[in-house]
Amino acid sequence: MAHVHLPDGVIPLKWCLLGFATYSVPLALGLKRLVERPSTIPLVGTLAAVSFAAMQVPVVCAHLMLTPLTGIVLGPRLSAVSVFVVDTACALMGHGGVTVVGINSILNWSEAAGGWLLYRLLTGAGLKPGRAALVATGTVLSCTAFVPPFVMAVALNTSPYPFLFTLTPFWILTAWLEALVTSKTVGALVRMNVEWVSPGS
Amino acid sequence: MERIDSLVEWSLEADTPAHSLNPVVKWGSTLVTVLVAFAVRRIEVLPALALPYVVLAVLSRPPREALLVMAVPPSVFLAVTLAAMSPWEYLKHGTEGLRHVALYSVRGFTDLTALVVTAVTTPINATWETAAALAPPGLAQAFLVFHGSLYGVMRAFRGVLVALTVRGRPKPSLEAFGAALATVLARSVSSAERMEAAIEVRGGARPRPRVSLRFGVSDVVWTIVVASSCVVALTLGRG
Repeated sequence: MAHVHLPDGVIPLKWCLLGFATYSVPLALGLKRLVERPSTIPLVGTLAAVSFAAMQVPVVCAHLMLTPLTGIVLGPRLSAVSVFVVDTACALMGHGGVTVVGINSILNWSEAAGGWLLYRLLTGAGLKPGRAALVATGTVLSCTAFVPPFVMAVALNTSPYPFLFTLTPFWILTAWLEALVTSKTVGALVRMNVEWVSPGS
Repeated sequence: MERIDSLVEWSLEADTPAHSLNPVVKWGSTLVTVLVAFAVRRIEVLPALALPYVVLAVLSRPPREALLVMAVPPSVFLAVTLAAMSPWEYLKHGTEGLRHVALYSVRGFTDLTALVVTAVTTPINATWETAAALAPPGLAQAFLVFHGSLYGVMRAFRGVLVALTVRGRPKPSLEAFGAALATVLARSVSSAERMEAAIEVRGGARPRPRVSLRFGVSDVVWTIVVASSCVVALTLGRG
């Protein structure tokens, strides 16, 4: 949800290249898993499409991205591929620059992987899937809402405070809205008896 | 959903010189423009990089709504970010700090112009076919399934939201939104499985794509125009 929407030319090239280099690791692991299990390709592509469609619905000054839902359904490795597909599609529409795809993918993948981890821990502790998804999504997205301001501050050699006071509050607000949506979605998927979101899957 | 709707609508029906350019050439030249902009330090020279794209937009006459819908959200984010930075930069570095903010602003809008014009004047199918042709196996199939599922997902998403809310509240509730997402996801996965089977039967998992890339005279002309603007910007703007 929280990612760097800046167009190209603002974040220095060395940081963009570092972003691509760093993200190549989870992406390579995800692609390896995808090639090993080709039956997961439809789920990866569809979740990317659903995530992208949900992004087109504006919520106040932000939008949903469903990255924790992607993580909960796909797990940490495959979600790296799905997140990359969504961020590439966004960049090709001017929503965040092409050179920023690496940095954005790291931020969004951390939400997916964090959401997956916390969801597994909470369902393992006996929480119902819907509630576990609510807590996992809200917590992870609220934490990651603080990351982009620091990324932008380091990359632009400026202070994080202007971004923390302007952008982060909106992102935290949207985080809990996304948590509610994810919770309802996971709850509905469980009621529909879909095996992707069951804790043991 | 208006962003993707207007882009898809425009991209599929248009028949202009800009749309006849090879997507590899067009996206490649946009990437080169973006990379060259990083090396240009003089604010007044940066618009030279956007000039070919402005000419392309004028020649191909994309609908104003499509351009606005694509360009306004990132422009607003850029403006808010730079406005938030400005006081801090002024206090820390004085007028030099404000010059940095102005450079980011002009460079950001220059690159955004190139990207938005390229996106609006490239058929969306061609863009994703190219992405799938250049990507490694696995990622290419994921790209194809994503692209193939997107319109169906959006149509289904709208349809389910209408069906859930038509007898209920005037605006969809969170419960309806979640149920709609779950329904769309479950339905789309089974359709994507059939699509993936079709892609695989046709050799989608092979290391190299079937499609060979073809380039025409207009591609050469466009490459020369963009290269010229890049050379001019690099010559005059590195100071």
